[in-house]
Amino acid sequence: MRRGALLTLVARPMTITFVAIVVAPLVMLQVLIFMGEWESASQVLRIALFACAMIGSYLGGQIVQTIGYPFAWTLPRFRRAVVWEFVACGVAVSVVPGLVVAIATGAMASTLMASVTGFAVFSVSGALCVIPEAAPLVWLGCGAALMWFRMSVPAAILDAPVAVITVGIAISSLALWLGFRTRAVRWSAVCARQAPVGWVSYPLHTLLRGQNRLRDQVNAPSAIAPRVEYVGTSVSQGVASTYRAVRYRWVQAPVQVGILVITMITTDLIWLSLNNDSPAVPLNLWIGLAIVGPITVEASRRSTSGVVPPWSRRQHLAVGYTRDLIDTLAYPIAACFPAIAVFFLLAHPDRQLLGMLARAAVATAVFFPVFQWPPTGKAGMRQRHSMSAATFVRPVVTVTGVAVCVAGLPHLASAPAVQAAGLGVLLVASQVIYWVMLRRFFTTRDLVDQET
Amino acid sequence: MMGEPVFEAAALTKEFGAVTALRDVSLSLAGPSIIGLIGRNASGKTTLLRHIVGLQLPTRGTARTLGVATDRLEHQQLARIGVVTQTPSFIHWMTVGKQLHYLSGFYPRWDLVRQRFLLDRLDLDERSAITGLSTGSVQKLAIVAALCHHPDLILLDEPVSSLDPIVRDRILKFLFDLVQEDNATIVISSHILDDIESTVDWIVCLNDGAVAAHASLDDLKDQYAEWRITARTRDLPRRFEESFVARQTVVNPRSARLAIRAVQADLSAFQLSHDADVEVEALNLQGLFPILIGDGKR
Repeated sequence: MRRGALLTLVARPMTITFVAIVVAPLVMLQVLIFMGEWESASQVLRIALFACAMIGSYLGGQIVQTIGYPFAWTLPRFRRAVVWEFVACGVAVSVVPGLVVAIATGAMASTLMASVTGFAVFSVSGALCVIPEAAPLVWLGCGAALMWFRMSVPAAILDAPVAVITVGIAISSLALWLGFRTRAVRWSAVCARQAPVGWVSYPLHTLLRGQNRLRDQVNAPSAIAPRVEYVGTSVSQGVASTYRAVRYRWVQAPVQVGILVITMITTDLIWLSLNNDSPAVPLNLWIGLAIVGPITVEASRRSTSGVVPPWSRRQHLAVGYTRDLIDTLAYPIAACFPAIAVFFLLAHPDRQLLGMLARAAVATAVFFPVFQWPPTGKAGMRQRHSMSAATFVRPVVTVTGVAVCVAGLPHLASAPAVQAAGLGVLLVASQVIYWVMLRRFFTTRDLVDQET
Repeated sequence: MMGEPVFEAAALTKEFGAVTALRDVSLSLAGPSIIGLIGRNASGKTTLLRHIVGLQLPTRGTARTLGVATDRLEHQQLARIGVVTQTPSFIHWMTVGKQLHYLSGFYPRWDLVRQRFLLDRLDLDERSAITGLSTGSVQKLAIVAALCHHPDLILLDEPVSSLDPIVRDRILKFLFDLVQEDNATIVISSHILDDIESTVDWIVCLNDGAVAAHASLDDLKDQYAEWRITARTRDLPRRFEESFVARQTVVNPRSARLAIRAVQADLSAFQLSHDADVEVEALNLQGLFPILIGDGKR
């Protein structure tokens, strides 16, 4: 296990999917956009550094996934082997930005500076994924990445390679130490096993649970509580019981959404203060809406518990669809509040911005079913390979689809009423398709995985 | 078996891609009774239990539970079934009490007295957080959750594998009482054959997805016996070729143990031909199991 401890984990179809679906199109897109600006090399350098960040976070994710398995701790020198391979990968990857600068400028100092910066970006990205408490900072990283492609780097930084190299080495060392020291990895292993939702950190999880426990102790009944009664039809009973089971997630979801909205607002404010022309506000906001919605859906979807209620397949179908429809319809309404808040906070007088945000919110709701599939929650989630692909496919499909709706609809129809009608038709169509797929699933498919 | 069939399968086959988990299974389980479902790892036990409750659907053939096709099981039938899965999972943020409270809403016949009794007997604290429970305690909770609504059909997939012997005995005794009290049918899958033997009255043995045996435990025991053979004058053969020998263990040239098909065996003729003394003993389930799955020819 010591030789190839990390690379063995990476050598699998998921990696190819990751590269094909995420990195390659992004790199190609950026190359196409900035093709005419080769002389400064800065845009190409940014793409190379962005790739360093993506690869670092991907490897960090692989490490977290592996150390979550108890067997990893029985392997001799597992942590050390993984760290060394992570560093080796970082060195190899950071050669790319160095090469870019070497080809463009030929200056040794700049080349070294680019490589060290690439390694620092790689190390920080990996460490952010490994340190549980740092998981929410990934979103700040996303915001920073959005800005990174749009802002120009101050010349003073580029003129001080020695300082940049020194700072880069310091940051890399700090990130590697914080992320991969024994205590951090042990803590991360616990979190990886117990964290309820992917990037939601275990400390947040335990904090919220601790509050629940205190409240439970205060309200602890002296005798066993009577059995709960759900009122209404079998469908409304089912929906009510499902929401009760996911209540905890609905506490988490606003926290996640809050972090994301703050990130987006901060990014926009910084951007506005740096540039007065072609503001990034609309772009950042609709991307934010396209991410916030699915996060809420995922939080609800993933929390479908392992408890299988005594429902017929018909009732599973009705309950599942009703709950998902409520999520879908509630989202555009809920999305209006942060959108309006941002609108007033930025004091942006452009009325078109509100229309754009409304289009983005409804378009995101159109793509909700993409995130609501598979319908059986935990059971479906276990299909690792399909889920790995879905993890990357779903955001790409949603963001692309929302982009087409936001940018393309005004070209097809300028009247707001026609645009609203068009989005309404898309919403109904997506729901009809989702219903048909859901019905087929619940009438013909296994509700649990293969296991003999 | 007596009574109405609670589960019937006809030519039931389940395939997962290239893997065939169940092959042409045809059987009928009737109650009230305790049925032991035995078989080697990956023989299809869990898949069969999942078909009974409709979580998985046949690739070919039919399956009916409580008189209804398993893909059309309604709340009325499902509320009469209690299930303990091999790896039970619950809503992690709840306490034991809250979890049971949550589940109670789904069943019209939830019995709080039984819940309290079981929690007490199994040493479970209703205020314990689910995430803090040990594997054994989660299994106990799963058993409580499966029994509080007076189910007519109880499916237990390795229910006692993580329990200590004292709790295991309590559970098995309670299951036995349950059959008497509720007229329930219990299907229990386990690798702990001693427990199965002391509890069940019917055996279904699966081997490589097919039914290898489906009979009452008493009938199976009547069909087979163990002969302990001691040579009188000359050494025993290295291998006994008699057709009724299902399994043989030659301890040394002077002594051997044979599992034999009792109906076909002729004790006197055997003693004469091998010039040996034979002590006849009943075969327990542990001894029967290799014969049932066809692993006895050695």
